[in-house]
Amino acid sequence: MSFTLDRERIAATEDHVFLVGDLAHRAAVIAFSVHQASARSDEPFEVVRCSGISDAQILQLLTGVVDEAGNFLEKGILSRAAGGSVCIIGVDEMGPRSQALLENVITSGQFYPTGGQLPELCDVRLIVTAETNLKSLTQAGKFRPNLFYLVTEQVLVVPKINEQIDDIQGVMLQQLIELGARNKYLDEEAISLIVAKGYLEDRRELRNLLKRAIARNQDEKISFSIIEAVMSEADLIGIAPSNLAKNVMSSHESTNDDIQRRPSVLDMPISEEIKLKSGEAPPDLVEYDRRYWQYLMDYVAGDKKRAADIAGVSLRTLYRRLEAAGVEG
Amino acid sequence: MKKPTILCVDDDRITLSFLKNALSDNYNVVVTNNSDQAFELIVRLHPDLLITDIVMAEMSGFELADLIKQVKGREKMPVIVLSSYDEEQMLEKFNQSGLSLFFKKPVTIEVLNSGIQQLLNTQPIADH
Repeated sequence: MSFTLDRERIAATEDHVFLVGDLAHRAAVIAFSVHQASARSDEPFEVVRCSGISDAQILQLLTGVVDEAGNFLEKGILSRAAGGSVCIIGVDEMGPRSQALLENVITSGQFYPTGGQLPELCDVRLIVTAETNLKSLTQAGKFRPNLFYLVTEQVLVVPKINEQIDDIQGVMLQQLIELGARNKYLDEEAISLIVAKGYLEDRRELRNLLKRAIARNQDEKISFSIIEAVMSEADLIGIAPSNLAKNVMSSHESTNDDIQRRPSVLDMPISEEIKLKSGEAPPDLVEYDRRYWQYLMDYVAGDKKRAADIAGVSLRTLYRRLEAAGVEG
Repeated sequence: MKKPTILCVDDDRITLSFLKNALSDNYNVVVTNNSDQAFELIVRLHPDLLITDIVMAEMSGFELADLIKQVKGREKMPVIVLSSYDEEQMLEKFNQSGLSLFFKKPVTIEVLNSGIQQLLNTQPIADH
């Protein structure tokens, strides 16, 4: 089942939701998407992050503070979110008092504001996340068992962004609109290729890819072949996501295998032209440089990509060096 | 009087550092280099104004601004867009909304302050 369908079905219930999966920085965004897909979408949406603050602070954030007469000095999240949803990031960081409060809110639909003697009614849907294994925490006696079952009524597994196939079309559409290409669309094969090549992991790469595709395409439909062609160009100049990843790896984590696979200047037979003969006065470096680049281009029969690989430089640097050496590419 | 809070989101740390230094005398400045995290901060902290880049690794600045407008109570949060790109169609859309401003990078602090004042309708701010 797709993530989007899962999310919509879960959102349609009135149950509290536990989010797990790829949530780095995205918990609030995902929780909001659940809220939007629910019957509470026109009601408020609030977020509380429990890490780094004390149990008392969490309690106060949630309940708000009232004066002696019971008037709110500061409304809490539970009041502000009345009728809507509350995203609790790091429910496992809650201390015993805020856990008790939350359990009470769910079971009785009311809470006592900080400093108050009278209960406030409360109707919120909770969408929670945890950094640690909540079940283990519960078994270790650090999380209220009843609360564990209450906040895990529904579990929504969040896949990586590039696995959220149904959302990807929305992402593409948004990018096309932003690029002023509202009338264009990508066919399914093109989208699959973009996903497979990892372009969704960095929107900047995706944006540039689409920009190039739009520039080369007169039709409304941006087809698989256009995307494939544009990707090949990106690959040629070493800016496709896979190449960027490889570059990062090669500069930090090169293995012997990587080094052996990469073509090297050492693979070339030594040319008589560039080999220094015994007794020969060595040429100056400029001349030697010229000889090297000339020999390299002859060796690869003009294939600049291969020449750049062998020389261990980018294509751009290769062009620069050839020009400086006076060698025709 | 409580300083207004400005949230700045940009994946360029130099821009964030510039904004933090330039605006901190007059505003509470919160910065993040992640647009997904920016959404969370907007809902949690209720900043008075958002300054955002457009092209970021996660949500774009436009997506972020659109998403915020769907959060009840945050619909009218003013947004200043800073970008190295000329996105004329989007620029028009933003200016038509009456809530937001678009500045092309690099932007001077005087221009930025003027835009912030315009959107927050605050008193003139002393020169740096």
